[in-house]
Amino acid sequence: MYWNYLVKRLAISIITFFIAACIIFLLLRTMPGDFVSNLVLSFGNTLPQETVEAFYRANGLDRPLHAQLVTFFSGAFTFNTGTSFLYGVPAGGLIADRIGWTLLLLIPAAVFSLFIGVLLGVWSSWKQGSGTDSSLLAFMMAVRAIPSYWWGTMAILFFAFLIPFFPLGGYTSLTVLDSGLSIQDVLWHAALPVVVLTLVGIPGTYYLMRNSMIHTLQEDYILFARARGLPETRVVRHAFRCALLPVITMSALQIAGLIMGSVFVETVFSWPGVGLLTTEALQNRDLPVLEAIFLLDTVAIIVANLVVDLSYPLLDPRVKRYGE
Amino acid sequence: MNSELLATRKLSIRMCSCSGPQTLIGPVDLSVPEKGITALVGESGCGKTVVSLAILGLLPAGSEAKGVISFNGTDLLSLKEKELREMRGKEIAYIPQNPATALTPVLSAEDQIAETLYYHEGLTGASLHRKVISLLESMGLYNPEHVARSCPHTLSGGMRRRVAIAAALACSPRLIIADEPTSGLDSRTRKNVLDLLGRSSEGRAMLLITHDLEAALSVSDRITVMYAGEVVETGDIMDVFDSPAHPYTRALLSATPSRGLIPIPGNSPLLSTIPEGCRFAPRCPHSTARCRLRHPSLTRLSGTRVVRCDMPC
Repeated sequence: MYWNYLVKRLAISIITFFIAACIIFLLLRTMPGDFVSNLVLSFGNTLPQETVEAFYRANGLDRPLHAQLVTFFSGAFTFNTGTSFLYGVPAGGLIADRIGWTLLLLIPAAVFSLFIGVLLGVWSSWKQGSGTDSSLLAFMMAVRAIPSYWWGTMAILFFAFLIPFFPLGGYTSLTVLDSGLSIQDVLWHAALPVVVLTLVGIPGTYYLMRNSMIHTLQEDYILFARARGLPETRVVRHAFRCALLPVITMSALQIAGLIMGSVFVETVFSWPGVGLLTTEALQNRDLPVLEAIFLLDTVAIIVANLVVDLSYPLLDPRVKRYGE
Repeated sequence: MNSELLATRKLSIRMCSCSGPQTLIGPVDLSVPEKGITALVGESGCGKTVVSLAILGLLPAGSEAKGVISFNGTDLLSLKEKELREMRGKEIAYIPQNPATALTPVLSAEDQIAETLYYHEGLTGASLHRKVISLLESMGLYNPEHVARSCPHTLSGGMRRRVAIAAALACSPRLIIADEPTSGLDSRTRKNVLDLLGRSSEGRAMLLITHDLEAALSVSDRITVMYAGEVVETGDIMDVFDSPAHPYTRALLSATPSRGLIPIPGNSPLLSTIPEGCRFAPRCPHSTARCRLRHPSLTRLSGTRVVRCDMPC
C-alpha cells in the first residue's frame, strides 16, 4: 500500500516538474531582448553581422521553438541546460559553486523564521485582542507589505553604515588575502542578510499560526480540556498540536518565498550566492543559467511538498498510515 | 437529610450582545442536593448552558457573572482562576454536549483521561495506566486496552461518549454537570447513556441539563425549569410532573410525545429583547394585563416547591 502511494506521489511530482519546466522555457523566451542584442548594444552596434549570426547558430537559438524545446527537455532531466553565455562554463557548474553560499543564508533563515513565526503566532492567539496582539499584528503587516530589499537597505544603513558594527556587504573581509577564509569572518558577514531574510519570512508563518490557533481554541475539545481543570499551558498544547498541521503544510510553500527573498537580499548585500547569480543572469539574458536556476527552484519546492506529504501521517493520526 | 451541595443565589450573567454588554441571564436561583440528579430544563437558548459555564468559571471572554455560586460553602465567583482550576475536574466535572468534538483529535483516549488524573491526583506510570483501564472498563467498554490506545477518530460515537465521560469523571468529582447528554441519540442509545450516567452518579450530585423532559423524568429527583434566562419553577420531579404550577411547565409537559405533542404557541423571546412583565406572558393562555406589566418574583408554594407566577395553577 505504502509503495503504491509513494509511486503515485512520485508520478504526480514528475508531471508537475514537466509542466513547470514548460512554463520556464516559454516565459524565458518571451522576455524582451536577448544576450546578443544586449551585447551588440554595448559595443555600440559595431559587431559584424556574421559574428552575431554565428553566436545564434552556436547556441541553437536560430532553430525553431519546438526544436529548442526538445533540446531543453533532454537537458532538463539531466540537469544540463548548456553553457552560460556570460561565463562560457556549464550553467550547472556555476550553480554548484554558489549554492553553498545561498544555503548558508537560507537554512538558518528558514529555521529561525519558522520557529519565531510559530512562537509569536501562538502567543498572539493566546492573548488575542490584547494590546500586544494588535501591535504585533500591525507590525507583521508592515513587515509583509515592505519588500525585502528595503529592509536589506535599511539594515545596511543602520547597522553597517551609521553604527558600523556589521560589514557593508560581501562575504569576507580583505584579510582573506593574508590569512585565507575564516569561518567567524564569514558568519559575521552572513549575520545581517540572515536577519533580514528571517524577518521577511516570519509574517507568513505568524499569520497562519495565529489564525489556526484562534480557530482551534474555539473548539469544543478546548472547552472540555479547560473544564477538566487542565493548566492553561496544557490546554494551549492541545490546541497547538492540532493548529500546527496547516502551518507545516504551508512551510513547503514558504520556501518559495524565501528563494525569492534571497534574490533581493543577496543582491543588496553582494552575497555571492545563487540569488546574485539570478540577478546577473536576468540582466544579461543568460538563458542557460536562468533555466538551470529556475529548474532547481522547481525541484526544491516539489521535493519540499513531497516531504511534507509523506511526513503528514506521522503528525496527524487521522491521516491514514499506508501499510498499517 | 440530603444537604445542599451547589446553590446559586441571584446569579445574573452579563454578556456581550449586538448592542453592547447586557444582563441576559438571571436571576437564577438553583439548588443541587449532595446526592441525586437535578434536572435543569428549558428550551434551546434559554441560558442553561451559560449557567453551567458560569458554575465552571468558563464563561466566554467579555461576560461577567454576578451574585453567589456557592459550592460546598465556598463562593465560586470569589475564587481565583488557579483555585477554580483545581476544582474543575476534581470537584466539579463537566460532561460536554457533543462527544464527537469534545476529544482532542490528535491525542489517544488514554492520554486525555490520564492527563486529568495526572494534574489532579499526581498519578504516574503503571498506576496511572491501571486507573485509566479500570475507568474505561467501568464505562462498559469491552476492550479497554485497545480503546485506550486509539485516537478519537477510530472510535464510534458511543465509544467516544464513554471515553469523554470517563475523562470527565476520572477524579470522582462530587458534582457532575452533564450538558445535553442525550441530544441527537436514538432512543436505545439514549437509555444506555442515561443508565450509565445514573450509575456513575450514584452517591454524588448531578446537574442534568436537558430539553428532554422525558429523559429528565426517568432519572432525576428534582427539576428546575428555566424560561428566557430565569428560573420559573423548581420542585421534586414527581410533584412538578403531577401538578405543574407554572403555565410554561404545563405547556412543556403537554409538548412531550407521551402527552400528545401539543406545541407551545409563539416563540421564546431572544434574550436581548425580553418583555417587561412576566417573560412568558405573551405566550401564556392565562395571562392578564397585570402579567404583562409586573414581573413576578419567585414564591414558595410548599417545602421545596418554588414558582415564578402570580396565578399558579
